[in-house]
Parts: sequence; C-alpha cells; structure tokens
Amino acid sequence: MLSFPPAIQRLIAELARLPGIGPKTAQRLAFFLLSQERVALAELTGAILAAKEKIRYCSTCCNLAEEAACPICREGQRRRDVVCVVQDPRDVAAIERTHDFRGLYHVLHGAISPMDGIGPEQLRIKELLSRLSGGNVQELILATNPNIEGEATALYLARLIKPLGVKVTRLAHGLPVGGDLEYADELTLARALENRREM
Amino acid sequence: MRVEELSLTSFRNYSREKVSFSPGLNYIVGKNGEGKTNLLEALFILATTKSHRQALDKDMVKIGEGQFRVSARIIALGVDRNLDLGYDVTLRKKVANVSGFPVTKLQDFIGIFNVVMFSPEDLALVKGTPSDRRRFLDILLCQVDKVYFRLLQQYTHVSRQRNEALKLIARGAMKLFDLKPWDQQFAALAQRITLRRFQATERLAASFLSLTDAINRGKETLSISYSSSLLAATASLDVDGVARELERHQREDLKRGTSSIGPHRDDLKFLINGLPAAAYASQGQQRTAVLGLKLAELKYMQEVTGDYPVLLLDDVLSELDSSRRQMIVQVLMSDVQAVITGTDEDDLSLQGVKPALVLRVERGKVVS
Ligand SMILES: Nc1ncnc2c1ncn2[C@@H]1O[C@H](COP(=O)(O)OP(=O)(O)O)[C@@H](O)[C@H]1O
Ligand SMILES: [Mg+2]
Ligand SMILES: [Zn+2]
Repeated sequence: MLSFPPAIQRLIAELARLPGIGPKTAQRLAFFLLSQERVALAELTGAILAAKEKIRYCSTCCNLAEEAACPICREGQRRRDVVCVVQDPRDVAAIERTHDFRGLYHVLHGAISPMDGIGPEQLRIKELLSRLSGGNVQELILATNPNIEGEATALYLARLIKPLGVKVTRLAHGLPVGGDLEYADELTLARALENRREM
Repeated sequence: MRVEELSLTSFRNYSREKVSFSPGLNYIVGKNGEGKTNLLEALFILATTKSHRQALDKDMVKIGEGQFRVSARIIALGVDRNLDLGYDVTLRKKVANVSGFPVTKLQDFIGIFNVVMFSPEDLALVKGTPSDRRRFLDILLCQVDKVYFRLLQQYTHVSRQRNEALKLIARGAMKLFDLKPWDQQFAALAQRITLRRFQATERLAASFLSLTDAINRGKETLSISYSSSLLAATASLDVDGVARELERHQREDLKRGTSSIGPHRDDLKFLINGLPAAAYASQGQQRTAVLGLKLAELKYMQEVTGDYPVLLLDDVLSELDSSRRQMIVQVLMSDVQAVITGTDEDDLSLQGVKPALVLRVERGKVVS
C-alpha cells in the first residue's frame, strides 16, 4: 500500500474502517471509486451526507426517522399499549415483515456489554423509562437478540421495569418453523424443551 | 467405530501420505522423531478439531507449506463416512467436510469420530493441575454431548463479561445493580455444566473402580470424584442455589475481578483409600490411575454412543508393567480398534495379543 500516492492511501484507510471491509476489499473499492465519473462520486458523497443530516432518532421510539416521529409511531391504527423492545432498527424491519405485530417499538441501539464498554447509559433506556412513565404502556415485549448480550439486556430491563407494574414478556426461544426436529441444533432444542408450553 | 484409511497432506513432517488401518490392533513403530505421534495427532484432530498436545493450528502445517489437510474414511455405527479437515495459514481458518458436504459450523464436526488418547503427558494427570483434569472431562464430554460444547462456549463468554463487569464495578465505573444479568446467566450455565460433569464422573467412577481393582486386587482402593465448590455448597444443585452462592462470594469476586466459584474452578480428584492422591501417589499408583481413567473413558463413550471409540496409545506401553498391560489387553480382546506407537517391536510383548498390522515410520513416511 505504501507504493500508492498519499491521497489513495488515505481513501483506502477510510474505507477499511467500514464494518466488514478488510484491507483488500478497501483497495478494490478505492480503485473502483477512482475510475468513476466526478458526477457519480458527487452523487454518492451527497447521499451519504444527506442521510447523515436528515436522519435522526424518532422522539418516541428512537427508531431512525426523517421527522420528529417515525412513520410507525405516526400510524393511527397501531396499538399504543404494547411496545416491542429491539436492539437495532433492522430488527424493527424484520418484525414488520411478519405483518403480525400491531404495537409500537422501542429501539435500544445496542446491547449491554461490559467488554465493549457498553452499559445501560449508552443505550436508549432513559427514553424507554420516560415513555413508560406516561402510563399508557401495558405490555413490554423484550425482543433483544437470543445471545448472551441480548439476554443480559433483557434480564436487566425486566428487573428494572417489572416493579413499575408493566407486564414484561420475552420473545420465546423456539424451534425453526418448517424444519425437522431431527436437524435442529442441540442447544435450540434444549431451550425449546425448557420453554415448552402446555396445550 | 473404526478408521479405515488416513490421508495427510502437508501435516507436520508428512508431505503426502496415505495409511490403511486394520480393524484390530495397529502398531506403529519407529525411532524417536520420525512421525509416530503426528499420525495419532491427525486422528485426534479429526475427532476434536484440535491437537491433543494443545499445539497451535499453524504449527501443525508442514514447515514451508501454507495449509494442511487431514482426511479419513471411518465407519461409525456401521455407517461409512469421509471426514476431511483442512487449515489455511493465511486465512487462519479451518474448513471441514463430511462425506463431501461442507460443515458450516466447525462444532458440528466434533464427535462424528470418537477417540480416546493416552499419551506420556497424561501420566502426569494425577499430580498435574486441576485444569489438566478438567480438560480431560471437557474433551470427553464435547465428543459425546453437543449441548455440552455449546454450554462451555457460552460459559467462557459469560465469564469474561462478568469479570469485566466486576472490574468496572470495583472501579466505580458500573453500578452493582447491573451485575445481576451476568450473575443470572453465569448461574444457569454453571449449574448445567457442573451437573453434566458430575454425572459423567459418577459413571466413570464406577468403571474406574472395577478397572483399577483388577490391578490392585483389594490392596488399596483407587477412586475418582468430581469436586465442585457449588456441589459442596448447595445440597441440590439448582440455579437459585448457584445464584445465592454467587451473591455470597460477591465481595471476594469484586476484589479479585474474577469469579471465585464455578466449574472453571472445579477438579476431578483422584483418591487412594479415600485420601487425595495428588499429594502422595507413587509412580505405579499414578500409572494405574491414569490407565484406569482412560479405559473408563473408553467404556463411557461406548455406553453413550453405542460404539467403541478408537483407542490411541502413544508411547505408553513401554511405561507400563505387565499387570497394567494386561488391563489394555483385556480391552483389545473386545471390539476395540487401537492404534499404538512404540520405538521397539519387542515392546509389544502383549500377552497373547498380536498386532494385526505393523506400520514402520521413517522421517515422515510410512515405509511398510
Ligand atoms: N510443522 C512441522 N513441519 C515439519 N516437521 C515437523 C512439524 N512439526 C513437527 N515436525 C517434525 O516431526 C517430527 C516429530 O514427529 P513425532 O510424530 O512427534 O515423532 P515421534 O515419532 O517421536 O512420535 C520431528 O522430526 C519434527 O521436527
Ligand atoms: Mg512421539
Ligand atoms: Zn417512532
């Protein structure tokens, strides 16, 4: 890389900071960008800056929005007494694709992880608490990831919020639908057995 | 269970080698440093994905080469399978295939092929560290219990988060309230791992007792037991009990920045007439104990999986006297495939047992 002019080195270094981009891919991207017309590049940089300027957090649910309230919070027909807590805006999109959930969301923007220096203060938990103090929310569904940090975040929130008299539920750990029991991975199967329900 | 054929490419001092094994007793003979242990190591990594001598993956790649590849045709419970494991130095990645199908999660490769390895380093197990003895249990359980492997992985992860949390709290950078989610997950995993290790040890202990008694003939009693801080403190090991124990040790944990109780602190204890053997076991007693443990492991795996694992004995025959060899002979009489190494063909004066196959190894080549 040292054989490249400094301006290219700088571009490669910037690109390599992006998640999932290693030095080799960064190099390929840099040379691709350089081969593009000025207009195309202006379009790209414009899009990046515009997104950064326009996007903010919804004042209610902390999801990404272009206005003070996100489209979901503005939608009239949604239940306002059920709130689903997720780690990431992409999780909202995933649950929305089911078309089954008609409540509102709350986006934490991460999960608790001491090793990464992320505590409750770094997440949108203050906003969640002030939302709950309004008294309209009857049920909080904890839909953080089914991994160690997601589980820790759910346990933390449950302990924090249950005393407020709000019903707190956790997304079930279950078997993948449409698969054979025989091929389910052992831990998922063990979890599903543990969380079995009466019929 | 048995291995029919093993192929090595750029593995240790082997460039390219294909070895066929007999279903019975295979004897690998050669001078020191010729590549006998390397063959057993290759079989071991096909069972566990890791080296039995805790070598780094890159150190198993033949010097000057970029990747190794180890494959074997095995028969498990009557089913023919091809196992294939490769490691690439630049990608720093292992890739596995089972009968031509890529394995997406390496952990799914573990336990298809089962082995029991007995190498000279194991002779120090009785007087060695608790961590060596926990490793013995972990290798055994990971081979036969997929859930155990995942639990262990998660436990290590939760422990690291909890340690970090303890340190942050001690520095005043985190609230004590925030420790709870880590305690809860730590307790749940600790309970399940402890229970599994305890139950496995109970089963091992029964065969261990009868195996070692065959040598000791009532002179003394050798036994093993799982020693756990949690089991000692909670009458019935339940998650709430573990959580209470964590609470009780909280101050100590905060001071140390690590968890002072849990399966990572446990031990598999050897006892002679009920007293800890680590302090005073003689050479002979240690040998009997380790041999008994390995043969108990063999039996345990057979009971759990329905198939005997392949027994790998590295250079230990010369270390054992005739009564202890007799223990092995008895096992070899049954349906067990064994691969044994030694420097001297005469070493194999196993009473009444002749190797079905003798393989001579010279400088990374199997010459006969
Ligand atoms: N990565 C490697 N590349 C090449 N040779 C190696 C490598 N690792 C070990 N060796 C060689 O393998 C030999 C040891 O093989 P080993 O199987 O342990 O011997 P033994 O027959 O005594 O059991 C030594 O000659 C050592 O130099
Ligand atoms: Mg050797
Ligand atoms: Zn919103």
